Amino acid sequence: MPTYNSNMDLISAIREDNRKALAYLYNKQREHFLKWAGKRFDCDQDTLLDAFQDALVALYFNVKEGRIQKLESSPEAYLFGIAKNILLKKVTRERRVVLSDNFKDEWFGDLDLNLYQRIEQDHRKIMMKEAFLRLKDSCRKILQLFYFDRYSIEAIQISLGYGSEGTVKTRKVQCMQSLKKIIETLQE
Amino acid sequence: MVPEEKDIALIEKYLRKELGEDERQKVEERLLSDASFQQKMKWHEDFMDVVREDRNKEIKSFLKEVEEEKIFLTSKDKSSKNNTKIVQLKWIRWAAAVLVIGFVTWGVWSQFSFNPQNLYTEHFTTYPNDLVRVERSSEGTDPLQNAFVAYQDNDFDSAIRQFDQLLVSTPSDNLLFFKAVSHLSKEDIELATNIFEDLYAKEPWQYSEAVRWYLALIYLKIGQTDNAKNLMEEIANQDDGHFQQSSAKEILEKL
Repeated sequence: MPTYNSNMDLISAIREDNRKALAYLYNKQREHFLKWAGKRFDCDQDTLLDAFQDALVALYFNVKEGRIQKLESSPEAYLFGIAKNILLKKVTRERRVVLSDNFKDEWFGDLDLNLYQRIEQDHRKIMMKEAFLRLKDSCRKILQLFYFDRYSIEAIQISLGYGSEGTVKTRKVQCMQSLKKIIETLQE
Repeated sequence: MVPEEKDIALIEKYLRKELGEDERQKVEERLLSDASFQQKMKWHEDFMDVVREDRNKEIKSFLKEVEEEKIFLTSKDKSSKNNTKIVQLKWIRWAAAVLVIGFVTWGVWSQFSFNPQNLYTEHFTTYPNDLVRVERSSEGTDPLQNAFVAYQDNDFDSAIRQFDQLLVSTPSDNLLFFKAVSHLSKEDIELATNIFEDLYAKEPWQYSEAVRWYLALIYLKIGQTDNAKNLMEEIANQDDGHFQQSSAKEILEKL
């Protein structure tokens, strides 16, 4: 398992979609989080772990989408702060909870915590999502790298081993056409 | 580049934040007055949300795998601070050893009858093609025919490739079913499981019963005996004459 000498190294690794960095952070913080959250929230371990995983996913997206360039505090503080917000929404029983933490709300001001609400109940999006899942893996990969990871065509060519940039451009166009055809079929 | 392609290229650059300030402003002004351009932009914004959600699911799934492997990583990566985990790990190893010895003893005594994996081997067969009438004279011209020729010839790699191509233009649960059976025939258990689980969740259709049967067999193979039992019970408890009903009853007796 790799180690990271600084928070900057860790954030850089996550930005480059290094999954080992995510696994490292997960394993490093898991036990501490369960102890911390277990004292503060009346939830079973599965719920706590779910919130912890959601917090890591939120951190991943905030790094990948440029909302975090560097950490103002420790990764632990960010993760625990995000998880706290997630758990507060999940907890249904009223309980007096004294949180003696130093999580400053301004650290989380720009963070996108509402990942799941963003995909609204929109019929076209549902069709689009279904169509995307039906694309070949190679198409999904190209489109993910281009639209989410914002790879250049050259980077996609190198990453996926295509013969030329032209091939990647053609393939991308074909994949989008396939997507649109599948959407049309689903809408019939 | 035709105007449509130019618009798409511009939208992509805008959404990928590759435009300079002036160009960005021009796009935003155009969005206010050009309804067609606005629609194209909205389509691409929606698409980016979909791609993002797909990545979201992927990362969440990855973290669940990290969680499931946790106990093994703990023993390698953590220090004596995690004595509780290590004690649990030792207990689980001891329990596993007892189980293994128990299984071996039971296996020697009852041979094939108890081992779920052997039940899978005993009962799995490739589902026969009853969807497409294969006419060998049309080989090479009709992709659907080609796919099922490969399927019937047990050339499952070729069948899967051709099913994938067909599925791009013709989304079809029937084709997905045969693709899943092809994967299972090649022992691509995970790929087969993913498709069968999706198909199982759908409304009853031509191959629902077969999907349930194969999923039950897969659960036997991967050791999820409870899940296998539940599905086998569903199959066995129907009115007589349903797909693989007597086999399901036979397996339940052995389980």
